[in-house]
Amino acid sequence: MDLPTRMRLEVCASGEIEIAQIEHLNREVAKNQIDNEWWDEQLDTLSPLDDEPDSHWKWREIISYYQNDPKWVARCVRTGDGAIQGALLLRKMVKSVLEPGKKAVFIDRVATAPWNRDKLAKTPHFRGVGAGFALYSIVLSYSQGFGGRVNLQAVANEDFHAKQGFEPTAIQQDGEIVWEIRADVAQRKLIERGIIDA
Amino acid sequence: MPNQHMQHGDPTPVIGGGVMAAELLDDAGDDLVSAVAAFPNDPLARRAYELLTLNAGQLSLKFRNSDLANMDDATKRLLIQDLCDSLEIKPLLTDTL
Repeated sequence: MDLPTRMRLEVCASGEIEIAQIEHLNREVAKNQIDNEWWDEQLDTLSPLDDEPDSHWKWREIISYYQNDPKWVARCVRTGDGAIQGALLLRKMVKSVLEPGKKAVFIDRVATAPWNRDKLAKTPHFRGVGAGFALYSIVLSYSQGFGGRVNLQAVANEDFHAKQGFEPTAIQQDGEIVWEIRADVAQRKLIERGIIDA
Repeated sequence: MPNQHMQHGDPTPVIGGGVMAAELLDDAGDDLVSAVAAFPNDPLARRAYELLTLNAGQLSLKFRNSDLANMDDATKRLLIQDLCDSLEIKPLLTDTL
């Protein structure tokens, strides 16, 4: 079963849809197209780039650490102009919190390129990377036999995660709540999006 | 006419990045290391192996790596179909999210 290779992103300037490619994220792409390009000081921003919670992340180092460990999956999404619009790192198997005894996929981190960020970029380019990678994680979980269960530790924006179908659990780590999407909710989402049959 | 889309970027640009809660860890996944190493050039065998390994607690089927390595592709596909039926995994209808 092949996982999805394309993601619909909305072009902010026009509202049109661009089909971007979902690709394996390796350390070369992480270094050259994320670490070296995302934090360009020439970017016209509403606030300092250093204020972003991930401005210190070194994707090359992160990917180097996990690249050869099959428990982890790293992906990026690339638009037609060659730019990397977002990146994802997830762990393929963890415990479900909401459905004890079941398994889930854990989203370790997702980041969208600074020029796409609603409250940072003056003229954002694309939207949909975060939701797209959440859906990708659900599809991976489903295709592994985990029913679509996915959990994550939210940095902020509870409304966004609730809208995606996640609900808060009783577990916290460093003050961040673990959120999870149940299998039935995840599968309804896959059906609504035409990814699986009802 | 002003463009109504112009002000909207990605509303949640960053998720995660912290230390994973220990309660989530499932050590059973360590078997995956040998799965990918065992079938680097055989995606059908790797798919079957991953389904078997990731869902070992739910499946009663016993197997050895050599069993998978010796199967022809048609038999591997049948095995994968049986595993998907057992785990209630339907085929994906699209490759575009």
